[in-house]
Amino acid sequence: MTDDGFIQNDLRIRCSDAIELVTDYLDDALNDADLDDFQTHLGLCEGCQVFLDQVRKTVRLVSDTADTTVDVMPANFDELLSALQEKGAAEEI
Amino acid sequence: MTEERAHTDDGDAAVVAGLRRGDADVFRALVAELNPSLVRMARLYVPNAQAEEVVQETWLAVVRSIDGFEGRARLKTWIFRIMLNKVRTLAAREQRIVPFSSVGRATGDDTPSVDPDCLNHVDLGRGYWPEAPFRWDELPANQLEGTEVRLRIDAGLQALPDSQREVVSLRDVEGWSSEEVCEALGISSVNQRVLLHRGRAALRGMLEEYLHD
Repeated sequence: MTDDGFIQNDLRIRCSDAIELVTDYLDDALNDADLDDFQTHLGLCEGCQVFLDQVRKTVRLVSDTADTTVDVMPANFDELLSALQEKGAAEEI
Repeated sequence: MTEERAHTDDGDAAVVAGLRRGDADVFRALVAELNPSLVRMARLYVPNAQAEEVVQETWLAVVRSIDGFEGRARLKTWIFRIMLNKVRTLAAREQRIVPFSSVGRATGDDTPSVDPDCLNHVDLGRGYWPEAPFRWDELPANQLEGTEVRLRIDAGLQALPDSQREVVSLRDVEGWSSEEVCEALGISSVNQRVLLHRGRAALRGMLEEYLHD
């Protein structure tokens, strides 16, 4: 049994621990020891490799949902620009 | 300059100077860069029409208060926070639940990213994949990139706890850096990553469930 939390196999850490390190790994935010454990585990564990790929894929699919039909310029842009220019002109006096 | 300014985007100083002298090109470029993001984020709190109004008011506030911008934060996150204050006030007035005060106590922060019952290897025991997960991520593009999946992801985002949805939206929809998100939401980098991780893991789980047949 490995339920005592003391991991003696080559995987270094449990899959359940590796899974929780994925976002830190993708953000280059792991410390050296955790990075070493994570990469060693990943090199031997197909399940965690797939999980990492799927998180990456999820991020890509989520980014594709951005609503690109939003107006680039606000409807009141001319008004905003006038306000900005009036203020700029006032300051130069 | 003080150390507080050290992290500020180098390009900000030129943009701020441009805004202060009323440079139309500088203003137009800044608005074009940030407006869609601001509108999409405002829509997390209020209906679309109101979101656009809030963002218009935000730009007016930027014009009026740019002289007071001290460069302690990036210009982008400063503008975002103006929008956030306005949209929160509006949402609160409309009796919507606004999550910001609860950032850091998001429900589900202790929930594992994968159901522990799914991690039970025949030899290694609990905490290990019994076999690699179903490879839904390798399905053909026509199954992964259609309208249906998109709608599912939208619904999945809506179903996330608010603090997770804010972070996932800024990081993964808007493509902001972790530093920018921390600054805009006023949260620690550790908290930011926990919220991002929980949100991404929940969306991955939702996709797996949906695509697994």
